[in-house]
Amino acid sequence: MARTADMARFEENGLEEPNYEESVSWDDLERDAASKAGGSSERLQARRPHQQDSSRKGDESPGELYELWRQEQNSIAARLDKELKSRWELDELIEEQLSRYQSHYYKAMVSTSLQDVSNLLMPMWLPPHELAAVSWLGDWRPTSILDLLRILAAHNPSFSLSESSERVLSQLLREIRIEEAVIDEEYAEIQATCVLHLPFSPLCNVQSHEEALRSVQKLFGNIHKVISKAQRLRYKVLELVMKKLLNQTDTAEFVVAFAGIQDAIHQFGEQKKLKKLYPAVPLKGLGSSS
Amino acid sequence: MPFSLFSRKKPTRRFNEFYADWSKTLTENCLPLLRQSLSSAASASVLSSNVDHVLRHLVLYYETLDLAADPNTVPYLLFPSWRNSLETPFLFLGDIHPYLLTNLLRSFIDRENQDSDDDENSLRLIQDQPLKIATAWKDPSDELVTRIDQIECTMRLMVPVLMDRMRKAQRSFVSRVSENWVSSYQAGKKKKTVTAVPVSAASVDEAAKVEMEELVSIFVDANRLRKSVIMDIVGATSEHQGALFLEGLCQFLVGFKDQLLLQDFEVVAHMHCPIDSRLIP
Repeated sequence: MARTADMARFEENGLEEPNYEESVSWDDLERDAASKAGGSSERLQARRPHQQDSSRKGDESPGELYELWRQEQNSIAARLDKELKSRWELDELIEEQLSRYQSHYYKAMVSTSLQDVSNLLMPMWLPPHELAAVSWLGDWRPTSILDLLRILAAHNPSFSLSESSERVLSQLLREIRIEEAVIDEEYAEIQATCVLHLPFSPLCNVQSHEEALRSVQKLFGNIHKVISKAQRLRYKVLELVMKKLLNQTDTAEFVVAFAGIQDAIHQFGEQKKLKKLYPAVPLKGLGSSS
Repeated sequence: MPFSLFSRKKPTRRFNEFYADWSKTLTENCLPLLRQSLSSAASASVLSSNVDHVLRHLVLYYETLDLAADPNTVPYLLFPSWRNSLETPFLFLGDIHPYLLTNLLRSFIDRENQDSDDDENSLRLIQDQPLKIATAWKDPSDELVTRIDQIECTMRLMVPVLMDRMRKAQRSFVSRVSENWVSSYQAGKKKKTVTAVPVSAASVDEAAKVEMEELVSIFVDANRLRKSVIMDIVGATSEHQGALFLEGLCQFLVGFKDQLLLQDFEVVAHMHCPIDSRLIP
């Protein structure tokens, strides 16, 4: 009886795995186990009617009971094997996604082309409502990524964030909040002092065309440095969450949620864009001060 | 509804069209006007009325931005596609950073009051101007210095608040959407449906409505700040100083629109390729 209860629990746990989409019946597993057991498969197939009718268990000889016991062990082993394989696949998927985040956030920018820098901050391919809703230096705020994790931990009962992990999370939120503010400051400094450095500024005393171009390049280089810092901070947060803070299952849940929410917000932005409600001003009385 | 008053009843035009005209006026009218009254021996009243005129033009821009901003349109104003790629990286909540204004003013003063070694240099720059104008920034009054400190002080209180509000608005939007998403995902899992129920568009809309209203308020406050700093600076400075400040500001704003310069930057950027590969980890 105790063993049956264990098995039942095992089955429940198995179903809680997020990527374990199909529920597998005993019969499937037995077939699976039987085929894997190789030479003994015929014997197992032959035993099948006995095993299915438990009322007849008492009539079986010790040898038959032993066979049955082995058969059950084999099917459990098969289930475990399958679980392990799916876990391994899960690991691979998580690694793959993490490296996708890495290449996305460390995306090499080959030139200081103004268009490239501008596109990082204000990507033309993203609808303006999505940008306004979430964008900080061109992408999600690192603190928002942690907010999502906080919410997952609070609302998702299968999330197994330990107390110490929760403490780490609050600590991390505070630290990342500060790092975000530092980046904000650096960016604001560039924006506030560009009036001293841009070549067309009344304060900029550039002598030649080349000098003018160089000064703009330098400024854009500095802005690019700030954007890179923001990107690295985003990746740092994702890496910490996925590698240090969460176990495998929770990481998978996190990635699913992050992707789903990004998608929902993107859809919202696209829908808003389709409505074409552009900023407008009264025709008369404005715009003609001269 | 916010759009019904203007866009339905009265004839309207797109904000970007207004902006193009406004910018053209700034380039072709305001800047030459100021230059003219600064370099010639224009009478005080002409100078004064020109300063007034240009100040009104700048104020008009911020007031028009406010009129154009509502929860539907504020994203376009915060990320204006009508600004070129030279401008966009310098936009703070949709326009110039307010600190830029006092930095411009302070630099005018500092440049004229540095060690005497630089005197030659500064005189060379402004030799075609009347003496009154050439020496406008020399030895600024204590009153002006105090007033600049005050303006800066107010700004340094307000800018962090604006950024903080922006951060809070975005974070609570993401939190709201996340909560909705997680609970509908949970509900979907209980029903054992294979794919999670996607969060309803209506619930994102609902969260966005709250956020966009706050963004409008932040945007309007940011513009009010920029506008009042410009007005305060002109109010605190003398006629000549005010005219020079506005001339500098207009020159800076107009400078972003130089298409030839813009093209050259792009060409050079592509030729010189990587800014520095060591920046890329």
